[in-house]
Amino acid sequence: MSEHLHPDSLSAFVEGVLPEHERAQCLAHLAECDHCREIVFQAQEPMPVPATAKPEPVWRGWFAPVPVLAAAAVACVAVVGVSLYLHHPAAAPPPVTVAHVNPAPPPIQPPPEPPPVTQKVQPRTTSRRPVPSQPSTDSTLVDTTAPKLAPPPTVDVSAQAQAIPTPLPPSVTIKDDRASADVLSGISGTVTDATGAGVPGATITLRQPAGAFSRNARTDVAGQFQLTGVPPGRYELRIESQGFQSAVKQVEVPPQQMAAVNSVLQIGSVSETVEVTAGASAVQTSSAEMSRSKSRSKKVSPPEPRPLPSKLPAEITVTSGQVTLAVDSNGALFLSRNAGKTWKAVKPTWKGKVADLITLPGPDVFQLTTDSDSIWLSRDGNRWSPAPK
Amino acid sequence: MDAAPAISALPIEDAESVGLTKNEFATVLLAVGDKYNYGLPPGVAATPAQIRTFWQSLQLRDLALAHACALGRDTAWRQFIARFREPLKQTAIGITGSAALGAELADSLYAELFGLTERGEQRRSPLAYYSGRGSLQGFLRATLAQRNVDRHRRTSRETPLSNEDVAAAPPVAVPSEDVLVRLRQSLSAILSTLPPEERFVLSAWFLDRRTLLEISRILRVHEATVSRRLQRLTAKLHKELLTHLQASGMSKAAAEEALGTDPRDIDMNLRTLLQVSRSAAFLPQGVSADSEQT
Repeated sequence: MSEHLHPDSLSAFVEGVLPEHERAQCLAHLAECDHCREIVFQAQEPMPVPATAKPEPVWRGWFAPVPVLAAAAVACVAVVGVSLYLHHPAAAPPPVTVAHVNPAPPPIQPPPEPPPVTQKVQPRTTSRRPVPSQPSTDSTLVDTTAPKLAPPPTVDVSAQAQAIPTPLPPSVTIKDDRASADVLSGISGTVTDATGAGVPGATITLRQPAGAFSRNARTDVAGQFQLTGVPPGRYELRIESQGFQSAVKQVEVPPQQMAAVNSVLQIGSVSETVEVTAGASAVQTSSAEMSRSKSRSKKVSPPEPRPLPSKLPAEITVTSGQVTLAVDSNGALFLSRNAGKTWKAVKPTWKGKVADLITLPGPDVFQLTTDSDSIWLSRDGNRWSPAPK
Repeated sequence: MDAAPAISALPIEDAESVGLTKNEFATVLLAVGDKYNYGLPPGVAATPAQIRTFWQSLQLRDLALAHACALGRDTAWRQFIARFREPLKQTAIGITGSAALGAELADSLYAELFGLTERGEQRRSPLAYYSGRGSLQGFLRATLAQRNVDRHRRTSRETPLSNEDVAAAPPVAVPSEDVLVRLRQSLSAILSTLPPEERFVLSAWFLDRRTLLEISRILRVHEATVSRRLQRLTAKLHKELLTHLQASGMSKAAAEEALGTDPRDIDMNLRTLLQVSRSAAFLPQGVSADSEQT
């Protein structure tokens, strides 16, 4: 074996700067000489230390207690709120009366002062997702002690449902920006159980009995839902959730306004139909009103439609004429021409899953949106073509 | 050849800043160039352009500093201490894995670098051997590693066996002497045909038990590359050893038994074989293990 390599050559080898012929000589020696191999491995630079988190600027330290204090404050408020809710005797009675708020002046004008309120009937309905129209939050407020309330209601409201049209402020941005004047009208509301807790995942089905419009939605974790872009008119709103009685409401959606529908689902399996009529012209904003008249009729729920061929639940169902389309939870589209008795899978010409499905006025009745935000149109629900851009 | 024009074109202000004259630095550059034939294989004459490229590739600032220190220039030493004292100590601690041993190693190297150890009649600092091809930091690291390995080999014989808590190696059947001789010859023949880099991989993996990461960092390739190369080399070695053994007169069954019939044992068997016959296996053919001088 030749003499050991000099540290000068070894360091150059480790740093990879040796010419090829000298590197080969070096490797040949290293293959034989464990002494030099040991030096080479020891002479390597230490392993790079994983990058640590970038130190925070000093000024951030000044605000370090703020999140802690904020969290503590929120926790205190939550504890106090829960305690008051659980021990307050007035919290027990169900919300049999509701206030009515007159519609605000046209959106261009500044909104009037909200009516005086004294007590919240449904504390849990004000929640994580704010209702887009400002006065609608006030619509859940009831003045049960005010003797000088305005005369009898012009709106029929049940004990468990209310539909109050509320104007949208001009600054509200609607995500569903379909090119229609109806985009500003819609329905929003909250579905709660008998204890006032929001019912998440409840299926909301909006149908136009005489027309072709149909929309579906689900309540969020707070039990809230919102349907925008609903043309004005009279609708049938069906609310279903497993373990609860289904509720069907007749809702009047005024032009360019959001109808607020709050529903309390009862435990059980018998469906309940509630007639709700809301007229924009009959609602006042200057004072709160109490409504006591209600009409309620019970009937047997309609038969459940046949399951989809995919055996998955239908997330969205729309109907136009004889054609019913359904999107299952996997984003597949199915078509039925006999009101859901039999289903046929629609062969997708798009890529991805169907994320949304609506009906439109005009020749292209159906419009679907994929999970990659591409929009497709169809007249018969079976043949689809991409929407012109 | 007249290298003065090429040298004058180099940025040698750094040399003057550490107390080295232009002539002294030119002498260093010429010596380095001659020693390494300007980066060319031996026997190849360098063109002026190649000479210029070679010098430009050197770490001129480090080279000037090292040689100025070797000549005992105070300015250079002040700079050297400012730049390398703490890194040298930290490197020594990293190599030895001990603060006390690292400090001791670094201090002893300092004494050497100052030229306090004599070689023959002349005191000479190791810095005088620095060529400038790699970084001065790398040179110092390699020197430290070399001193550490030397120290360990010198003192490890004094370490009592009772202090070594090493797990016993699993019992592996060592072939008989006759089979072992054949295996050595076959292995030497096969290894001699392998490129140096593959032999290095084999020895680092099987003999030194280095990790894939350590080997990959030395060879500047990815760990997966080393892994694939090892797999390929192991399979190739096994196959060729079988062929060699059969060619030397052994039956296939006997050859497989000598290497280990269980494929899972191939790593262990090769390691054992390489360890048993290491002195012969990694030497070029014709050189006996007895003539090894390291």
